[in-house]
Amino acid sequence: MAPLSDDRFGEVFRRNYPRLVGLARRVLGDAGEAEDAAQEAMLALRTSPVAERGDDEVTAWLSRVVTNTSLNRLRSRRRADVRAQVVGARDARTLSDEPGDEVVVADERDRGRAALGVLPERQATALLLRHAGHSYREIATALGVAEGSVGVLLARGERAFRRAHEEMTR
Amino acid sequence: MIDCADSTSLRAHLDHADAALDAHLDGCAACTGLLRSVAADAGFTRQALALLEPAAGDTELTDADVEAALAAVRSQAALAPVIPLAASLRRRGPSLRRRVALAGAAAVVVLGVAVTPAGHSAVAQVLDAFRGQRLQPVTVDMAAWAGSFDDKGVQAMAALGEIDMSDLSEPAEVADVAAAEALAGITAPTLGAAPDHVIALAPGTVRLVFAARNGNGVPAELDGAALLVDVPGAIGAIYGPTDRPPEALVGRSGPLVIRAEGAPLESIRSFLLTRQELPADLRSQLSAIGDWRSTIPVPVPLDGPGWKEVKVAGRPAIAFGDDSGLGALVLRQDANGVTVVGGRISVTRALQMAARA
Repeated sequence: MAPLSDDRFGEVFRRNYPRLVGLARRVLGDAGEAEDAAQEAMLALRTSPVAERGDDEVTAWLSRVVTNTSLNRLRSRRRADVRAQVVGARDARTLSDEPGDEVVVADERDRGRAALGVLPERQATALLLRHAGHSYREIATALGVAEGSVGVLLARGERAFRRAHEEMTR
Repeated sequence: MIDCADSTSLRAHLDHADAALDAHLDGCAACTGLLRSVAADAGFTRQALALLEPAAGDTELTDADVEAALAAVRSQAALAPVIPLAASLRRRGPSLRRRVALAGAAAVVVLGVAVTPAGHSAVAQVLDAFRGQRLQPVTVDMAAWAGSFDDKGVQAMAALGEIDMSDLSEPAEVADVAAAEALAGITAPTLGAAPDHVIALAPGTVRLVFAARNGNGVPAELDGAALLVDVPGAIGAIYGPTDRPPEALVGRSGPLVIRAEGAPLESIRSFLLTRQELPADLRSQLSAIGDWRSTIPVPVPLDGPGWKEVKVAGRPAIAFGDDSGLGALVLRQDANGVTVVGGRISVTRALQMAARA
């Protein structure tokens, strides 16, 4: 297989990079870390056979890779105890100068990310892509499943997400 | 009239309304109840995930941001797969799990050449060790490699036994070349100009003691056997900043030596080559290398920059990259180690520098 040409790589990069950073930012929160995750995904594309496929498949593949990369980073932040992470972050903010509403929203964001981090990878990816506006077809392509299976992943993922989120609220 | 729906079709119904299902829901309390539950989960998730959306304008990247990121990725793509030192500079302090996995991977790769498919020389039988004296490219499908070393691969490798890396230090920046030579225990390469940074790695030994337990596949005869990887001292002279792949790097390392204790090296190698963490194609290439106790396999990305075997200052070498200036690397096998020249330079320039180093 011929290596991905530099021109083609540049074109794919410019078209996808901002969107990938946005996806990663949802998971990671931190802008710099989100850019790292997006660059990691683009780097992986250079050596993947997927690079030679059509734009839709490349886009879907990148979505999956950046989501997985971001989730892995999220999990590795505090794999042992995500609950402690949430509680610790909340305590730290309570002592800060942030206005009360912002503290509450930040807590909610932490809980959301922590809940995503405990879901099976496919479910988490399906939720992230769907709630970022991707179609069932795009999600199916990204995950390598039949379009009819996307509903299963969403239904199970949303149920598990809600349970995990509520568990962390207790 | 359709049959009762499951949560999957009801979830899809929320996004893509199905007229037949709608009609069914009108007369089915059970399905309506299930739909409410599915919709509640979906609504809850939507609200929670909406909070994760960055504020408007917060993540907008300018064209200049995107171009800068593209340039960074291009330079990494040219260098990352083949310059471990550059990688370690870019990501300071890799996690212990990752380090363990990489050490294990390195041991597997090197040991892949440590036994020929058939027979060994008498000398090799007496000296039960590997000493790197020759470079040989082996092509690696980086996607398959990355896939093999996901969390599962890391756990599988770590489960083989206990890895003691306490004797191995991280590369450290030192004041000058003399300090680097003192730390690394080798002679530095000849440099054409004073580098911006000098990095040195002290030699150390990684010890992997195999333990047969919990169905990890370690055979009884290897239980308690050890593999000792003598990681050589290394020196890197860096031109340019160290927070990204360097503009140029001239480096040298001593010889890599791998020893076995408690079992023949051949037995350990044979076992490691059965591990599924290594892509099958790579295992096949490693098994086929003839000069098993002295050949260092150099992973070459299957779809990465081109490479060729060349002679540099009369020594065998491998040159990666081209004259685009996006990145090049030359590995020269010396009598007692390996000299490396690379960076965001043309391969012609890298070869010139390697000839003088």
